[in-house]
Parts: sequence; C-alpha cells; structure tokens
Amino acid sequence: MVFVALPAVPAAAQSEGEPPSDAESTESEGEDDDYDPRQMRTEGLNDDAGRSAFRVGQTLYEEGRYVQAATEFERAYELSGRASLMFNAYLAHRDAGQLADAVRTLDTYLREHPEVTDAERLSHRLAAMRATLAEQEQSEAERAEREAAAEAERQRLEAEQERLRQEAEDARRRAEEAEAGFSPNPIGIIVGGVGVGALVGALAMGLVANGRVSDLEAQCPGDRCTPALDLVAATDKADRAILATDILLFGGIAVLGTGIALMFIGGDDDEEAPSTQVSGACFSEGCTMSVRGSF
Amino acid sequence: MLRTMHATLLVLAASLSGCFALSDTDRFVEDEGCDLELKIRSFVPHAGQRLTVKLVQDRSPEEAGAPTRNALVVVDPLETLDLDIRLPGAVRPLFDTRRPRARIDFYADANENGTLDMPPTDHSWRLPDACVDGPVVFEHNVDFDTLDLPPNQPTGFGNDIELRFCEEGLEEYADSPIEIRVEMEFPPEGGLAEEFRPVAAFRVRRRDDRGAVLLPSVVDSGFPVRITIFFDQDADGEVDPEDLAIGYATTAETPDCPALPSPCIDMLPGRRSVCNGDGGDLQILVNRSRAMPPPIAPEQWFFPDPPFEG
Repeated sequence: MVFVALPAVPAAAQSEGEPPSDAESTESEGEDDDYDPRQMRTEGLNDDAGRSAFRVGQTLYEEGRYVQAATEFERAYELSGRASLMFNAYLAHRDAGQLADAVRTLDTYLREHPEVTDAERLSHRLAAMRATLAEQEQSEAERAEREAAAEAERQRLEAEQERLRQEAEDARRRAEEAEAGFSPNPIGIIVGGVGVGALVGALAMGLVANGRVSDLEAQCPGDRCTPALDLVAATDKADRAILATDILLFGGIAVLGTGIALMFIGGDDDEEAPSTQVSGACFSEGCTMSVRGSF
Repeated sequence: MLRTMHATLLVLAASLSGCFALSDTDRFVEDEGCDLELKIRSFVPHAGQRLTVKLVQDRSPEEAGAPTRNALVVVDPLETLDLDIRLPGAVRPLFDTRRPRARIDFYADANENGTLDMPPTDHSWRLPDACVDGPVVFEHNVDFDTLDLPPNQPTGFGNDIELRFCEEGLEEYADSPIEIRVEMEFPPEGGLAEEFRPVAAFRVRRRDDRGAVLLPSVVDSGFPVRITIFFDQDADGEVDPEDLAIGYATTAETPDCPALPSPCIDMLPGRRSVCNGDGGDLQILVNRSRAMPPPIAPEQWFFPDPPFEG
C-alpha cells in the first residue's frame, strides 16, 4: 500500500497519510466549503491506478468539471478501495449538485471511516442532505405527478378535439355525398315537366269549363233551362271543356307520376357501366356459350 | 324541393279542377213549363167556402212592383173533401232568369168575406215551385203561410171578364155548377211558337145579384182569348157528353160594348155575345146560341171527389 502525497493539493500534502484535522476542515469549510481543493483526502492512495485516477479527478475538480471528477474519484475508490476517495467523490457530487450521489458517497465514507474527527458534523450534514433529498424527491414526484396529469389532460383534449374534427369531417363528407349522390334522370325531368304542363293546362281548361257550367247554371235555375237557351249547343260546349279538363288532369297526373318514377329509377347513382360478359362450358353432350351484356 | 313543388301543384290542380272533373251537364234539362196542378185532401174545415188558387211569380230584384199573377183558379163553393186541379200547360217556362220560378199560393176564405186575410183568419198556404211542388198531394194542415196582402197583392193581366147568364134557353142549368175556362194566346218567345195557355179556371155555383160571374184581371186586352163554359148538369165534376158547353173567342175585331140598360138585354139588333167594355174588360153574354155541338169530352181541369158528408 503506497500513500501518495499530492503537491498540488495542500490539504493532502499537509496531512500526508492522515485525514485533515477538525480545525482545518472547519476552517476551510467556513471559507469555501464547495470549491476548496484542500478538502480532498488522500489517505490510503497507495496504488498507482488509484492515484492516477485521483489525480485526474483532482485536475477535473480544479477545472470545475465536478461530474467527471466525481466519476474519477469513484473509479479511484474502486481501484484502491480507499474510503477517503469516496469523501472526494462526495465533494465532487455535492459541487456538481448531484445530491443523491453526494448522499450515497458521504454515507459510504462515514460507514467506512466512523472514526474521523468530523464524523458528527458530517453525519449532521448527511442527515440534512437526506432531508433535502427527500424533499426534492417528494417535490419531484409531485411535479412529475402534476406533469403526468397535465399530460393526460392534454392528451384527452387532443383526443376530444380529434374526435370532433373527425365528426365534422364525416358530416361534411356525408353532406357532400348527399348533394352529389342523387342526380335525377333528365328524361324523368322532361316527362315530369310535360306532366306539370298538362296539369297547368288542366287548370286553365278547368277554369274555362267552370265558366261554361256557370253560364249554364245562370240560364238554368233549378237545372231547368230557359227555352231561349240553345241547351244542346251550350251543354256540348261545356262537355267538351270538361272532357278536355279530365283528360289533361288525369293524363297530367299519370305523366307526372311517370316522370317522378323515371327520375329515381334512372339516376346517375344507379347507373352501371355498360359491360359484356362471355362465358362458355362444355359437357358430354356438347358445348354452350352465353353472352350477357348491360347497357 | 322539386318534389314538394310538384306535389303542391298537383294538389292545386286537383282542388281547382276536381270540382267539375266529375260533374256533367246531364242534369240540365230544357224548361218546358208544366201543368198547374194541386191536389188537396181532407179540406173538411172549408166545406162550402171559396177556395182560391193563384199562380204567382215574383219580380226580379231589378224590377219594382207587386208580384204577377199568371193564373187564377177559383172553386166556389168547395163541395168535396178532395179536389184535384190541373190546368194543362198553365205554368210557362222561365224566360227571364232574373225572376224566380212561379209558385202556387192558395187559400180558403174561412171567414167568407170575399177577400184574403192573414192566417189563421183565412187558411193560406204556399208551394214555392209550381212545377216541383204542385203535383204533391196536399193534406189539410195548420202550418199556414202568410201570402201577399195589399198593396203587395199579386196583380193579374189587367182586364176582367164578366160573364152574364141571362138564362135564355139555359133554365134547365140554373142550378148546375158552372166551369169556366179562360185561355189566352201568348206571343212567340224564346223560340216557342205562339200558343194558348190557361190563365183562369172557375168552378162556381154562385152568381152575383145581376146573374153575372166576374173573373178579375185574368186577360190582357189585345191578345186573343178563348172562353169555354161548361154546365155540369149532373154535378159529378166531369164534362159529360150530355153537358152543355158554350164557347167564345175574342179577336182584333171584337166590338165595343153598347150601353145597355140591363145586363141581359141582348136581343137588340146588332148586339153581339162578346164585346169590349170599359178599359178593354170583356163582357160576355152567355146564351145557348154559342153552344158547342155534342159530344163534349175535353180534358178535365177539375177532379172533385168525394162530396162532403151531411
């Protein structure tokens, strides 16, 4: 086991082979507890690998690269097994703001060196750090919980928004399909128009017939017509108008109904593309072929 | 939208034209007029009273004045329970369609004062359409109608006929019921030819104190008139071959009546049986010289049956 004095570390040089005194530690903590390299402890660094790692860690620490420094100190500890290196790792973790690692390394150090003079002070510090760590962990857990809830709410809102958007899209698509879906057969429109025209004609002819019948009624109180009226001619005129009205009316209804039917049964949406299918088969008696087409 | 419009138009067309689509003109018939018919039954309360039947037509709303009386029937006295009256062709077709159709007003002179009084003093009824309601059998009832009273009483044709029965050669018929028929010629109208139609029918026993029967306002002077008088000798209501019939006719040459001191002075030289009196009223001196040759069997106008009992 070789203990190496590190000239660049006054505290280590000063306490070669021994941990720093309580007075020195207290003094140095009071001056600059976070960045004073003299706090580094070097007892037990008697192997080359551990010393090398310690030096690298010390250099990194001096450069303010505390995370890497802590890594190197812990590696040195693994190589040498010296607990003092764990104290150095504690310092580096502490200065790097890695509280959990600082607690872990300080705890390791105190368990392996319960005899150090400032053990009580370090224990208080360890307890304080554990409390802080617990608070931080609790706070972190609460924050994570809040974030998780916020994330869940955000996802729910996004899902709802997506659902509404999808519904609106579906409605718009259905409306478009409804508008574009029914395209009446133009022949039906033409036939229906003829029917409507016949009905209009029936209406006009009906008015004419009504007038003629009214004239007859005026000349025929109680349906008995005055001899001055040419009854045969007058009734013939009225009958012709009535007959024309009936023909136009009922014919118009029939034609209109036909037109409406044609609109529905002959629309574009029902239209199939013209096609021709040819099939054939042979049996023991002979062969057959069929051609089926639509137009 | 298009379908809705079509349906609306269809309903509109059907509603406007449907009302006549099923109608026809077969219901219209030519008005040929009709007989003046009335069949009264069970007129016991009016035995011995004067029954008057009038064919009346109101004027159109554009015309002023009282209704017109187109025919007059008088039975005096009423001697049978039932009585059918039928004057062939008395109801002329309706030529002026602004006027309503002729109706039948009839009444029994229950208080026997010779004039029409308000019911129930006199019993009066009305049949609104002479050609529809007339043939209906009319049982005596007390659902009286108020007929037109003066000054709105229907006015006749304007001239009276006075029949004077002076009994020369008619003594054997002195107590017989007398049936008087008056027909007047109507000029061509509405495509119809001129024709004689009944305007008055009297079946009477009573004569006034001068031995005359007055037919008031039954003819228009200037139009040809035929008067037929039957003496129902057996009082059976029928015109038998044995009954005496005397006929008269007026023409454009009918002379004015001379001033006579007595209605029955007809033996003066130049005196005619028919002459025009004051204002065109006809005076007829009934005597046997105008008797129609037997057998006399014309269409009956009165059908009395059966006689009142007791």
